[in-house]
Amino acid sequence: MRYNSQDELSRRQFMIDNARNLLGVSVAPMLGASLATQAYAKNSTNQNPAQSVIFLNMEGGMSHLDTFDIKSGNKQVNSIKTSIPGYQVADYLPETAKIMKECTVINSMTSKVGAHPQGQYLLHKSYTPLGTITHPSLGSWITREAGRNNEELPGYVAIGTSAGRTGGGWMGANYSAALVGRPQEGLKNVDRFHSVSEEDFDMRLKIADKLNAKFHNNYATSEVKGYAGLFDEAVKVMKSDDLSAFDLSEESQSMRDAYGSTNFGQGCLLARRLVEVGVRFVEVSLGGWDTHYDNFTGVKGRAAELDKAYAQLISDLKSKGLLDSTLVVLASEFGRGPVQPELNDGRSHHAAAFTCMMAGGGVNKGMVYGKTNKTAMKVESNPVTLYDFNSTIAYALGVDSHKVVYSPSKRPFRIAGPDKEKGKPVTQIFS
Amino acid sequence: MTKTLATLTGLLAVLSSAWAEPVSPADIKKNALAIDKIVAANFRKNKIQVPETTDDPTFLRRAFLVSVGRIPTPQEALQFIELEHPQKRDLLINYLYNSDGYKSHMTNWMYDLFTIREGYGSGAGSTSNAPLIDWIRNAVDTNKPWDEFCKELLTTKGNAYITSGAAGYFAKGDAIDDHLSNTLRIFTGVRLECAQCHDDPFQEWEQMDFYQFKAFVDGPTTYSGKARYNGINSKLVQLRLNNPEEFQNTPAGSAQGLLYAMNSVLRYGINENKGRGRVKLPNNYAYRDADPGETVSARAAFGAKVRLSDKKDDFSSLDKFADWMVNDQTHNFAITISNRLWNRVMGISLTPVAGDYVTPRDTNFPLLMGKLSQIIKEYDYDLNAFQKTLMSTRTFQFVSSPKNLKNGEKNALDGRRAIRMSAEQVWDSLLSLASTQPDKLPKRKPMSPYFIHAGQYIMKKADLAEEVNKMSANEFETFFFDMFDKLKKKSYPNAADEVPDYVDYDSDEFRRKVPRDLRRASEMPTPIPDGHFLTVFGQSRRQAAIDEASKEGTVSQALELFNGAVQKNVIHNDNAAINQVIDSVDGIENRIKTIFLVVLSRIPDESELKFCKELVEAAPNQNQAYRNLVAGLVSSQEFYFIF
Repeated sequence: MRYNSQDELSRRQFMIDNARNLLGVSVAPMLGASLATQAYAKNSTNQNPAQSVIFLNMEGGMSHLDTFDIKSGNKQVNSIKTSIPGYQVADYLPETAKIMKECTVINSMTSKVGAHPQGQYLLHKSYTPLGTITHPSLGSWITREAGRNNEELPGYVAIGTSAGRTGGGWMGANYSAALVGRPQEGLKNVDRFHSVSEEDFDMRLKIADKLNAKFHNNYATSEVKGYAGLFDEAVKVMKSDDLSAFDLSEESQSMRDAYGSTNFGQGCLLARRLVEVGVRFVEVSLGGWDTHYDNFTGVKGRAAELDKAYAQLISDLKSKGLLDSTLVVLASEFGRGPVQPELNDGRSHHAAAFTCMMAGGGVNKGMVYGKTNKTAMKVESNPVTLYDFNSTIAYALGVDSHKVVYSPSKRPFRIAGPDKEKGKPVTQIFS
Repeated sequence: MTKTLATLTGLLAVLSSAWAEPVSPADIKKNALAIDKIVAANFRKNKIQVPETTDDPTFLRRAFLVSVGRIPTPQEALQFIELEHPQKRDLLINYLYNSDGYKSHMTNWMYDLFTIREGYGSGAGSTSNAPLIDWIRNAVDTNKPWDEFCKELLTTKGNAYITSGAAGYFAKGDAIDDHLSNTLRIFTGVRLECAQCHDDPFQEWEQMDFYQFKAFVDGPTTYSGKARYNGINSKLVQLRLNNPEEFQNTPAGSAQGLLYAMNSVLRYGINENKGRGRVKLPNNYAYRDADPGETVSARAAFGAKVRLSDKKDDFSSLDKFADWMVNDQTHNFAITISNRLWNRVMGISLTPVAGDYVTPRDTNFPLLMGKLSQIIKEYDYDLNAFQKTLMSTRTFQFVSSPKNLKNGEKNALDGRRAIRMSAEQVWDSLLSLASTQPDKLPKRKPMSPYFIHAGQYIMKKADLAEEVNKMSANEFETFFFDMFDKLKKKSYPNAADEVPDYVDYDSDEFRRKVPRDLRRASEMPTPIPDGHFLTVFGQSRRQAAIDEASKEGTVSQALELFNGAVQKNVIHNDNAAINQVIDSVDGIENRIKTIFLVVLSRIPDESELKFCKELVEAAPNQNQAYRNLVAGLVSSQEFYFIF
């Protein structure tokens, strides 16, 4: 498979996209796109796209109230000044406070989905779960639409998360994330078993290929076809010279310590190394934000882990000159609600208002976008849905979130999600 | 080959059942036929051609994977394929549903459905789910009827170590709102998770419906009083600060460690006051039908009519909730479980999303869904007999369809679609290449009934719970410090001497680490720690979400098959069953055929045989070439797909 190879259809698509940019008109209706698409088309492309995404997934519903959207009524959290004038965060985020000037905070996130599996699904896929099809993840979309910058390593790597969230869905296994369990161990099983020679290995592949050809012929469902090409990918990875990017021991101890010794911290360091060698999309997961009981102890613990790693990631990318080309996303499926004293000061799920952040990749520096009301329970201005949010990530990468791509079963899908949700990029956060 | 065959005696004759079998073979046959008739009528009505019936090898493999979660062993495959008997498929089905493999595979299903994990929390909140896990495993072993299963889980109160592990259901560490939503979804197929926070814009449910359900289960969960524990805990923090030598670094470990261990036993279960029939609406309740903070009483929004008083608490509300659930008027109960099992056995769902309830008349198969729920009720919710019935249909034997369903197109029951095995099926199938008796591999041990700390046997856990239960806070404090003192002086007997076959199975270390010996997926920690083969292949994390297992393919899976543990445990393990079988056969062609039979449960076609033969002949080392053949087949899609 050639680097960034385009088949006939997508090459034609590429020409149409270019024509649209040049002429300032949309030819989308011919492709079955919606009116909403046309309205937005004229500024749909980012002239200076980022190259990579590091997606930090705060699993469980990060309490926006006790981290990045502190209100005066919140007596249980002390806030501190940040490098954005007039904007404060919780005092257990001291390092993050210093680098906030690199970030755009979106305080006006809003969603209708307040359950974890559906919320995480929506965050990753811009659709809600359906029985008839599995949707691809954002990382799969970006890798497919933006192409790969490194033809040997996986375009999409997910650290410390599940295959279900980061799968390629109908796009097939080629676009699924390669999973890293523990960042310290890197990508597992990339070396041949000790008593298997290269010739042995080739023989195995030949046999498997022969069998697969017959199997694909007999059982030609999309589920089966989705697995085609998986072997080629795995073999390319095994033979790649860039494989050492997965090896954290190549970093100095002081660098490793700076990220924190936690899985999340080391995962962020690994993400930086992968972005350096051209991996398009890296997800790192930090779980444990589901603070139904004893919210304040829980959030403080999570925040300590986040603070060190996040701040170091941003500064490290910056000092390596990679921040402008790398979009660092910090997201959660929803936020949290009022304190419930009967649950030892826990907080339950709250989807109507929450906070996500972006940094690098061309987004504005030191911007606070959107606003919630005085209890941080409702969005007052500039609401951003998860459909908008994912569209914005696509925009940062120069990918058209409204482009319709058809599944093998001929169903239309877009990064922006279903038409009726009217998802569009928040271009205001780009300079 | 003949030698192997000669040793195969009576495998299929194993018909003795592990439990009483209330459903007769005649009933199974009758009901299987009734299902086939409905399916056939559907074909006629829609003018669809009836699919062909599978060949023996495909049937064999499919039946094994669906019922016992693994591929057949070489012996099982040979015996079935060579057997000439008009009812050989029925004999096989009997064999499978009476085997331990069925229990293992069902256990995985239960773990996924009920999101069962070893324990939850850390430090003071660290709690083991062992009693609940043992209860579920026992329910599978004894084929507990689904309605009894449901009722026991929902209504058992008291400390789980004293009464029954079922009392762990509400105590297993899920947030109550999520737990209630999952419970309703598991047993009635209805999704109320959206209505937890707001009226559901896509369905008919309102937030009020959710809270009226919640009223059935509201109330304190943990069994033991928190105040008693908190009192002693804060005292300990002080003592530890002042006297670290005496309370933190003693030979008996820290006093706090003892308190945590004790607490895990004392708190696990359901408070007698759980389920009071009323609940307060949340402070942000935003609809006009009630005020925020108002108390509402229990009412079921669908199914049989039940409404509790809004004047006073009703502590039998859990019983009433369970009675409502299994009531015949709550049609969802029978329909949901029969659809779930249909999907499990047939590989295709009758509703758009498997596990979701849809009124039968709104589906393509109203008659079939009605019949299935009638059968499962007729069987008194015998899950084993019901699945056996489904497998005994001709519908189960249809060849797999290569057709994709288009958007909006409804499934016509014209054959299952090929899908990847679950993580557990891949793992257990690889074990079947390694072991001659994959159903007899070491099993997980039930939890120890003894309260053991720092290697000393103190008392039975149930006795501990019982005694402490009667104590006041002050008495408990005396009791606790007295125990700690004795532990330090090593006054209790050494556990290894006192307890027969003592292994501390309940220790975190034991429960959460992967055993060294090869075991079925069901016999390992649930869920398996990250990074294990099973997680790479998408085992559910069994956190809050049911049906979370994934069958998505990834590069990591290909790498795992190419270079991972399967190489050491199977391909290059001289003692693996498959290598033993290869060694017992002579001649290149015979060996190739045997390898195909063992790995794929079929004989190679001519082109495959020729292809493999040439490769083997050209290889410098024949022995290695056969291993390469096994490895090639194991990493082919045919191996890890069910079709």
